[in-house]
Amino acid sequence: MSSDSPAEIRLQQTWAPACGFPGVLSEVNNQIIGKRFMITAFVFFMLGGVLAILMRIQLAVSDNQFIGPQTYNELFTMHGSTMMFLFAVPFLEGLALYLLPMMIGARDVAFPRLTAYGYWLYLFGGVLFYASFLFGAVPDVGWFGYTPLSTSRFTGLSTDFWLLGLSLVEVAGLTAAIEIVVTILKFRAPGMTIGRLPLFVLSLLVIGVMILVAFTVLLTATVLLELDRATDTAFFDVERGGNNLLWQHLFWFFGHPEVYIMFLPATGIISMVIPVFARRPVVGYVLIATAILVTGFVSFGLWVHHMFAAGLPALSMTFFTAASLMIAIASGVQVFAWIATLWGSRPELKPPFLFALGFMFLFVLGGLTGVMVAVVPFDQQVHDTYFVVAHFHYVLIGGVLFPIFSGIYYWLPKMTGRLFSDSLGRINFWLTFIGFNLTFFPMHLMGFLGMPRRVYTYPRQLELDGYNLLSTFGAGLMTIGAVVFIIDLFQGLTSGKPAPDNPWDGDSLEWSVSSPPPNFGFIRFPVVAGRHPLWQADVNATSDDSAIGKLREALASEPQAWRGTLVTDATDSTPQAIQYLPSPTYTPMWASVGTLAAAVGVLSQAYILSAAGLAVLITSLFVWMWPRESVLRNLRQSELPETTGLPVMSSGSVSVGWWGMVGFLTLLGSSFAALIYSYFYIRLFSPQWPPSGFTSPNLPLGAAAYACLAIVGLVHRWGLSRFRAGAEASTRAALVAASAAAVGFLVLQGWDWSRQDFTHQSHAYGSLFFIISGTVALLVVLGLAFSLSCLTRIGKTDPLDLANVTLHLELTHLLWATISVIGVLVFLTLYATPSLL
Amino acid sequence: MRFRLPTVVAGSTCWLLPSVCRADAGLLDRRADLRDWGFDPVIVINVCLVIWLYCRGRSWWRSRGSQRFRTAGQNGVHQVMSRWRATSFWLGILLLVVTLLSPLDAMAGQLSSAHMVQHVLLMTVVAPLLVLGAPGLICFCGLPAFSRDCVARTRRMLDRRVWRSLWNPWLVWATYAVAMWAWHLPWPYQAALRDQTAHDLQHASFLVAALLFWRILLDPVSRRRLGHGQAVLFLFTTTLHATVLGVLMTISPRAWYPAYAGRTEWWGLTALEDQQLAGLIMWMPACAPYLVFAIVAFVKLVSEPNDFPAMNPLPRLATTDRAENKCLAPVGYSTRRANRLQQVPETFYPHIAMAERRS
Repeated sequence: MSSDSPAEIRLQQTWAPACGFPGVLSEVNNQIIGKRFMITAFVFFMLGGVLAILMRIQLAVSDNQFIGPQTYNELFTMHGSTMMFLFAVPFLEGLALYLLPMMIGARDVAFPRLTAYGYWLYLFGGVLFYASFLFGAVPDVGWFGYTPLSTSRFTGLSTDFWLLGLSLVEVAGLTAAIEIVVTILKFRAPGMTIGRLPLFVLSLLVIGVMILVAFTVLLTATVLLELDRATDTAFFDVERGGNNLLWQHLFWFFGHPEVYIMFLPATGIISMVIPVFARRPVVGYVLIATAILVTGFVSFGLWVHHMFAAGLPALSMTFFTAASLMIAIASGVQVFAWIATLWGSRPELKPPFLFALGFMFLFVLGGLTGVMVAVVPFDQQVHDTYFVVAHFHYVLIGGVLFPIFSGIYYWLPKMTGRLFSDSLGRINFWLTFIGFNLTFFPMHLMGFLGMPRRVYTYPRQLELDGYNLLSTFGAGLMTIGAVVFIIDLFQGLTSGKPAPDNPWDGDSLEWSVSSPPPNFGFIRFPVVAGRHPLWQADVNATSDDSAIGKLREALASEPQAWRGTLVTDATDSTPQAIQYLPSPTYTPMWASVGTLAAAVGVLSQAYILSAAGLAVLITSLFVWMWPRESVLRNLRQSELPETTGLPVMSSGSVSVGWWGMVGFLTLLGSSFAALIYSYFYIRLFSPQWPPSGFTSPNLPLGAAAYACLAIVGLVHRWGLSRFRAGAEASTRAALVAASAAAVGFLVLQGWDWSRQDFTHQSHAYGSLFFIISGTVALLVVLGLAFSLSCLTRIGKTDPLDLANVTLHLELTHLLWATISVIGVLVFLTLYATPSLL
Repeated sequence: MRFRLPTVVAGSTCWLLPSVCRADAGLLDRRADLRDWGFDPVIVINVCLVIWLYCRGRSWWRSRGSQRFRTAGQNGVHQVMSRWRATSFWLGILLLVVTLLSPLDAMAGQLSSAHMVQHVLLMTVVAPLLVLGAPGLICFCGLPAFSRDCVARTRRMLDRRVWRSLWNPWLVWATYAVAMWAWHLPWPYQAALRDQTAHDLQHASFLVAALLFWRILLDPVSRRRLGHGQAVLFLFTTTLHATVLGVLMTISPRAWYPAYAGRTEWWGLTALEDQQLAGLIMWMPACAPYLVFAIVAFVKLVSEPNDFPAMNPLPRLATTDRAENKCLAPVGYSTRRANRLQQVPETFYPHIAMAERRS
């Protein structure tokens, strides 16, 4: 993109990346954070690969004593956790954060600071994981951490490293999910309806929602387990009324969708690459889109098929088998659509396309074995053998890693502005492909011959030496492939030819910006009239004098004084407003340091450190969220509302803040759903409820307390409507009254807590009671902070401030409405059901 | 009040009386078989009433409605008379009768899994089929003139807010969820087993909640429906909580409904196995209709007519000029589709249009 006009130079200055040492820590731009995500994820991928190679060396020959059983347990735990949590999901998130704005015609993602916060949490979580090696307390309970093995009775510090590192990474995943969903809904270029999204973006939209539900449940589960370990609650302690299978349910409620959270964006990449190489639109856009939706939808009902061997009702097996096959249908539809796209075309066998082909071959194999293990009698036979190992590596490497490589080769010229060597890419492909098949195909047979998973060695009498040696040899080939890839990367970066803007003649918007793209992506936002904008028109051309053309010109290289982008309607993507986006700031970094300190405090049982960390976190969140006067002044002075007719400060569902809040509340909702599910699950398996010796909860007191919460919600609603009507005094009164009622709830709930003759440690009943009501109390404190901050901001007169305060009040109202509903459910669960049911 | 009180009282008495003078504790002495067709007067009377109103409504439409509502065509009102809607309605009524009066009902007294099938049919098959038949508008037009006024007046008397809250997706979602969860608690469920009135109440509340639920997804008047994207989320979240209820039922180590003890043995199942089967039906097959309708909504969301052949580039981007836009429609697209294409740019930019008008 040429930078001739002064306006464009100004734009570049506004979006200039932060430099220098502390400066890089303040970076919030999506492209830079996205690249950091991908590089970090790749480093973890290499580490996970090293662990795998160590395991393969151990298994190369029978009765090997290269590493003992303990180290072997640590290796497979760390390998699985690394590949699932530190590589596959974060890499795809990074790719999404990097590409998303460019693919939909925006300048950045919806919440740039949240992106940075997510990245730091991910980095810290990963480092915490690996710090366990320094302390000699490496996690060894498997990537699934089944209780009771992972409770404090059987494992020490190692599981704490695992749980806390995992929690940080999960929070990073959740922030990325909110980011992805809101960006897709609000930042699409005009004309880019949901039905015109590139399929990669569409799959991101689906998995964004899936992450919000699934990751939250896992986060809740890890918090419960960590509470068991750190504060001696009894969720998973059978002697005190807890339940071990509860962990498996919560874990697989996350774990099954997780497979598709990795797999769907990977298929999205394939759906981008294949049409470009086939030089025609993908066949069956609607079919593929629907298959993505169906896979996401069905995956939430299927988690129990990971627990076939955990003692389910015999009747249920048939149902799960049938339902599991649904996924095969949806995946089959996608595969056939790709084949149809390629039919009769003459694609060039460049590395991205080679990896896409490899994916199709391997994924079909993995899918076939998937159908096999979905059949219960067969699964009972191969359960816990290497057949299962072969199956999920075919699905995960074939179905996720190959598309990732395809995507890397496809988008590297865009990201780096360099062309990479085709021949090295081909060598990498063939080494990886052949190495992969040599490694994992024999494992099917080993599984049939009875080689069990997760056992550090095997006797010579099994006669598996040949297969295992072949397997180890294949793993070596794959490693050489990875080395070739790194060489290719360095060679391309240092001496690659400059890449043109659109080297593959791609159809999606990211190819219309220069390679490498400027931080702001687009000078003029694109206008889209179909699914393949670049194949249909020159999106960089100057506009005609239609209404949208005028708006487009009015917004060309605007806003200049601050970072901003165009906001469009969530469904039909008509322009609605201009969104201010933050410049580099240190608050996300401090917030994540605070979060890390809180986690490390729990890990080392130094709770003073946790408190300090929380203080830092809360302070930086406060600085982060509080609207800065300098920003508001800039916005007030902006001439864009006159020149474009679009507001620079919006409220309600026009603003991204509102959508972010909805995302956060979805997360809260699923978290409470998981808690309430745990309550009833544990109750189902208890002979008596409340357990003998425990008094039933005090119904009138609970009713009074939770009625207060309902009142807060209603009063807020009224206050908001009064504010919209211009009656600020009544709004103020409403806020005061609501805050008083919220304090009333805290007092009544506190009184009820003090009345109890049991603690959170005496029984799972007590743990559930205190943790669930305690979480509500925490939420009420959060809501109070929102209400009080509203109180201080009412009374501004400038229209821009008015919009800002309206948004503030709306968010507060949304939060309280959710807390009220959660309050009703919690009241019914904790207070009403023990006596009524 | 011009309610014609005597008529209303007489009507309600006829309607409620049968349920009072009836005591049916279900079939206890043998296994239910194909002979056991029920004749629950409450259901028979209500179904007949609805059929009568629907037939009258359709004939009213045929004779007068088409003229009167011609101008309302844009709202989709003229579509309520289409043949597939009528088919859907009759199919819904047929299934309703099968669900509530066939031997399935007798079986439901002996097996919680049969009862579950009954509920699933009511909530996820009968209700959407009925809603697709546009029963509200047609039955309203089939009312005798005086009662039509009566209904209209009541409707007007209802606070606007109350009426509109029936269309509030959150409330409807919650009503459906509460109906689903509350009736599966042991006490209400067994009350319905013991007492036929409670049983009718159970089915009625299921049906009403489900009709409200499906109405905001499938109402014939398109502007009242949820957006396609919202519809997908609406169904997805419903699937999630329905799944959880099914899971809890399936994995429970105890039978929730002791009233079934001794009855399930007719079918060779223990009470617990029967409950597991019921839970599984709720868990997976019952969610299939949600998935199907979510797929329909999603396909509508992502479909669009102008997925052009790749090498057929657009000469211009979207403009408001219709003449230029004719080239947007490639060869092979029907004129109707091409017309739809031409409308796109106009709906695009209300804000800009407003801004221009202001200046």
